[in-house]
Amino acid sequence: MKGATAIALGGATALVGTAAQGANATDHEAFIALSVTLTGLTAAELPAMVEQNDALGVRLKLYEIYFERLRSSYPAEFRELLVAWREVEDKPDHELVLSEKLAAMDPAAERLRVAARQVVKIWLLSTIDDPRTKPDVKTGRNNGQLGGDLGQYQYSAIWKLIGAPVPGYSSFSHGYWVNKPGIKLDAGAAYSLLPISTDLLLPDIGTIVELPDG
Amino acid sequence: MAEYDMVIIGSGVAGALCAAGLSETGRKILVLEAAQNGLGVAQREQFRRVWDPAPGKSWNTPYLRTAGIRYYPSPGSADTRIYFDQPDAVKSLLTFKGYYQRLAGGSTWAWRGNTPRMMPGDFQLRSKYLSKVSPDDYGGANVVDWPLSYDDLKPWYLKAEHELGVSGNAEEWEALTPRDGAKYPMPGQPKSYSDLTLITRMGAKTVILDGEELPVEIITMAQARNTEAYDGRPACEGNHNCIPLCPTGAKYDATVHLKRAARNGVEIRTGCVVTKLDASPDGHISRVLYKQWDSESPQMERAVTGTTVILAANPIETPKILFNSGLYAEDDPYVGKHLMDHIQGECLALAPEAIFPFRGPQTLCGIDSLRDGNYRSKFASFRLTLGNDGWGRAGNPTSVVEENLNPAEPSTFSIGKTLRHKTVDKLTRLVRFGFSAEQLPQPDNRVELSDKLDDLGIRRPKIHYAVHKYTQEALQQGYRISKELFAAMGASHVGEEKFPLDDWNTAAHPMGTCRMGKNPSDSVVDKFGRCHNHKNLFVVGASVFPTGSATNPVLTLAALTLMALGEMGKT
Repeated sequence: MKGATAIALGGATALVGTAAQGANATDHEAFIALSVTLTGLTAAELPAMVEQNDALGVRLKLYEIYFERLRSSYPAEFRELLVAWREVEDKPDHELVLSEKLAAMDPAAERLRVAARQVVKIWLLSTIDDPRTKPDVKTGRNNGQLGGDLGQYQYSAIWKLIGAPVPGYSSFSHGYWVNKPGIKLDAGAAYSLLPISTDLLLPDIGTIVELPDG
Repeated sequence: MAEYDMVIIGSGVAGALCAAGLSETGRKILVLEAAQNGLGVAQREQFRRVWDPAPGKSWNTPYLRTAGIRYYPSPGSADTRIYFDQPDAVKSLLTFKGYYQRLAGGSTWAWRGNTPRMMPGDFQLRSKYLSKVSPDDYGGANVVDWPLSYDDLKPWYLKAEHELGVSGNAEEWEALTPRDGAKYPMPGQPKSYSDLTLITRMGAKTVILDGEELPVEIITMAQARNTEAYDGRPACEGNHNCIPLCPTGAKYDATVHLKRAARNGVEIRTGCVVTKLDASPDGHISRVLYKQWDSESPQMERAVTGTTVILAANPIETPKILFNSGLYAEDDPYVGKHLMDHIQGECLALAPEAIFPFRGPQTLCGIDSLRDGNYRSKFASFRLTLGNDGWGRAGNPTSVVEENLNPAEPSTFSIGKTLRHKTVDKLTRLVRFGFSAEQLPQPDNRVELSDKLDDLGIRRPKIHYAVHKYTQEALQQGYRISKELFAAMGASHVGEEKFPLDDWNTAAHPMGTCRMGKNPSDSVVDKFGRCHNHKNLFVVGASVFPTGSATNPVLTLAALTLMALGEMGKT
């Protein structure tokens, strides 16, 4: 993403200027296609087109924000993964071929796995591994996580896949849980691509005192 | 002439009920609260904005950035072993893991909302089950009957259920905790698809506990969570976020009563950390001393006077204040002693089909039919919860996704359709039983004062603690029964053959340390919470519990508090 400037804001990353100024459209297209392949989500399920304001009020799409977060947190690994993807993207069995690349035993493949893990996590969970930490080699779990910006959590796709509301963001009515969710386990419902207008500038936390308000 | 008729220290559920209840008597009331959070919709949203982007969503995540938190530390603002001085905590079974949050509204911001009543036998543990057993067989615990019976508390339970807004199915609870036909204020929560599937699979079932055959009945948990609009709050929409934060207020929290109190003219003074109580030679509490951390002089001690003082902190902070005040010696046989919690374990399984957990409240159903029985002469009472939250602390979407994406394991590293299938298949079949066991009042489980100070120069709590075999055995029984029930449901147990005791966890239900009793020689307060030694001082909350049962404590402490209001009003 030439020309784009990343600034740290509250532990997360926001963009100054549009992502399109830096990463070219081909990079982004590749990232979206790679994301669909890695996550197993369909293009319609991937919340790539959800919009969010950055710190200066510039409207960005989630794929632009996530692309930049991955590139800034895992620059080498992410670049290598995109290169690996470009080598297989035109193959009809690209998921299988990419899977085989990832399964190799050499250090380069492990770097690819690290990057692929982050791509999946960011879409499914809205978190990535803190690059200063490593997952437990036995379980794969990692206590060192980096969250996204305010508002991104509610687009964590894993919840949609399992037919559950994102915790804290139920759009269902009382008692919905009696019924089996109306999803097909391997092809969940598509996101409604309603833009969210979340200001990345958090207010000063902990200063609200409003006793009483009834 | 005192400045206030009543000074209430702490604004959790007990303090809030006192403030709201006594405000209707026209008295001049002050609530002193260490934290400085608001009570309304804006504060709830503010907490959500802290929680939402946080990568690890723990029970205390929303509250970690409340203003001035360093001035009123708690396990909610730090690891328990950072705030608590625990010199003996070299092993899991010697570590007090309980926690709480110091907030206006207390820990109810982050509670699960379960509100079963104690069972009649819980009030008479000693006379009914332990009178013929040597105390040596249960670790020398100082077990006593409560100074009141279930029947004495029954009308107050009903009132508490109406105050908190409890939903439940009376017919499911009548035989366990008699209600004389009284309905709950709201019908019970609908059981989840997961619950219904597993209950149907299990069918009729009994289990054996110490030779006694007991029925297994999975029933809807009575809970302070609305099933319809109640008290100005909406019905639960199943946000599955009761812990750490209900986003809608459908779950009761103590801000309900704090706001009611404030509307009735009660002064709620936030940012005030009580340091000690002064007493005159006859024991009368003459002044409440506190530090106001949001003032220009946070270290300056200020004073306020009240005709009646109500100590509504919690079983850790209450004895801390009493000891710091010099009102009781740290070797007093009752103050600070008999600290209890509910000791929890979990048993995990995979259902034979997709049952879709994570939909609805985190807990909807449990097994309470095993809570009372003759086995209590040998091991502790326990209750089971059928989780609606996957594997709870042991397994969730993050952990399942991560285990399929372990960079160190290329052979299992999965992507695409395979990843999706493996992840969804496992996450939709997760099921757990949680079991929560009674802990007896051991004199050695105690709160003292540490030499280490907090940022206001107040001595921090020092805790000595152990989980005794009487309770450990209940965990093993809970684990065994869970495995039996999973087998009956066709679910595959995942885990070790016996419960790994070091894996016990806290229910975060601290109890004890200022037990109630009829006799001043063996208790701190009477059944109304009035201190034997200080007639204008009341202690309310779970501090006064003589024994802990296996029952979630909030409804009982609320009922006791409501019962005490009349007595407080006489002063």
